[in-house]
Amino acid sequence: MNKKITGVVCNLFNLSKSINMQHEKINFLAHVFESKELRNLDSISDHELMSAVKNGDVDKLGLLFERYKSKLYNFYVKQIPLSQTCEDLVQDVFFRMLKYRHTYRGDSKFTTWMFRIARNVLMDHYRKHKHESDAEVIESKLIAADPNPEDLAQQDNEVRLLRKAIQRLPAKNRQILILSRYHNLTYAEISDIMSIKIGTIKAIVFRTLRELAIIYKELEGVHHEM
Amino acid sequence: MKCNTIREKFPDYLQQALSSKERTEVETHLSQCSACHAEFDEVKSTWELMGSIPDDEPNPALSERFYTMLDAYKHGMASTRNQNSGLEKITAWLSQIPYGKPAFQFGFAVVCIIIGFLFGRQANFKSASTNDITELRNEVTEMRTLISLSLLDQPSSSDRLKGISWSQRVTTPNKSLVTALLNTLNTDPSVNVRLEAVDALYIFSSDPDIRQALIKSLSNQSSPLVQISIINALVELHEQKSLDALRRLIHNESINPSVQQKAKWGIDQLS
Repeated sequence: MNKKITGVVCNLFNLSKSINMQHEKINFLAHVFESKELRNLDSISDHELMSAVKNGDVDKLGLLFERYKSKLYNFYVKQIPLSQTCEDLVQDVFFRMLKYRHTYRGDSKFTTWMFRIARNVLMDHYRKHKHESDAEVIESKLIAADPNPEDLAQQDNEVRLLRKAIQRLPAKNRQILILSRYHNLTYAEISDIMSIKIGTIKAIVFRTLRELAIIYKELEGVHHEM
Repeated sequence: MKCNTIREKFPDYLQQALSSKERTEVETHLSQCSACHAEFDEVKSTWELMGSIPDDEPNPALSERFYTMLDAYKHGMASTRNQNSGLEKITAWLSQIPYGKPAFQFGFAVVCIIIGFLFGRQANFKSASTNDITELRNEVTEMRTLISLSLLDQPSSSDRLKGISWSQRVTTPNKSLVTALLNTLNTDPSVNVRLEAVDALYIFSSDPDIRQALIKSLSNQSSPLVQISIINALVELHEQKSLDALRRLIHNESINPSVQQKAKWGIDQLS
């Protein structure tokens, strides 16, 4: 009986917490609407928003979060096959944007600055969790090695092998290829993000594509043998 | 010469960053040169295949966590502002303390001695518990080594992969674990397992014997994928001693061309 009551109280507590959260989000959006007098939110540039955050209006980071959370998540999930870890990394990027907001100068595009932070977050993750990240990759491979029929039906085999092949590329080259293929960044912007000369970036993209083709074919072979 | 200039433009072509004049120039060349055409086809088909990976959506919990973090940060900013005004009050209060009077100086000395005594006791207590932790840590390492060794011996390849995963949780491997890993690298029938063994040995590569064993294994491997992985590891380790082995790969005609290309790259990086 006592347990039942505790359970109900817990549920009520959680419910009120999530209502509070929604309430805060609505308040936040209302605040933004008021301050911009119903101006179309999409028309505010990234640069304007980040400059406002820099000057202490940190609520504006919410709009940048809504714009870029998916992009950043996909940047990570193509390299690390664990969604929870990727979500942690996205959270860390936005935390660093807040913490280092005074370093935003706006002389290059906002996305360039953002991906530079995203890259640093990833490097720190590799450094800190060398052991764990290898274990993660192995576990994900174990899952991939014995797929159940449902998974196979859900995910096209080609796509699954290609994801695996991408994860096998050397970390730096993989980042460059992903930025170039999935994020519509110019080579000049990628050169700025990675601090590598533009000519080298082009050569790496070309070479990595060829390497990816080799790894993909090899994995395809191993897969057929199994 | 012409071919090289055209190939340099492939990445820009794929990103659609070429002017229409340059684009036509590349296309005209491709229609005439079959070697460049084959090269371009391979790169382009990989580029297009990459487009077939769909975008994933993050869990809605991410948004909740973000807004909680933002809120906490705002509270933090507000309380820092309050603290700043509080700090002024504390400074004013401190300036009233009679530092010069002997009674105050004597009292201050007594307080310092008491704090020192308490701190010393605390430190002693800590060092005793540190010993316990070291002992516990050793036991855990021993247990992980045992699990890893027994899994590496299993007939199923996914068990052996798990064994390698356990070996990576050991900070300093003992001799029997290293021998088992090297054995796996050189004799395991599964390519996936051998690849993982390379990664595990890379982690323990501060031991010069392990580096030497990686170099030796390079020429005995049958899978190009494993060879490429070993070359990557050796280059990242800046292992100068591998130069001879890499040169031998280049001169051996039975070796896969992509491995030879990788070996050339390795020599460039190391020398």
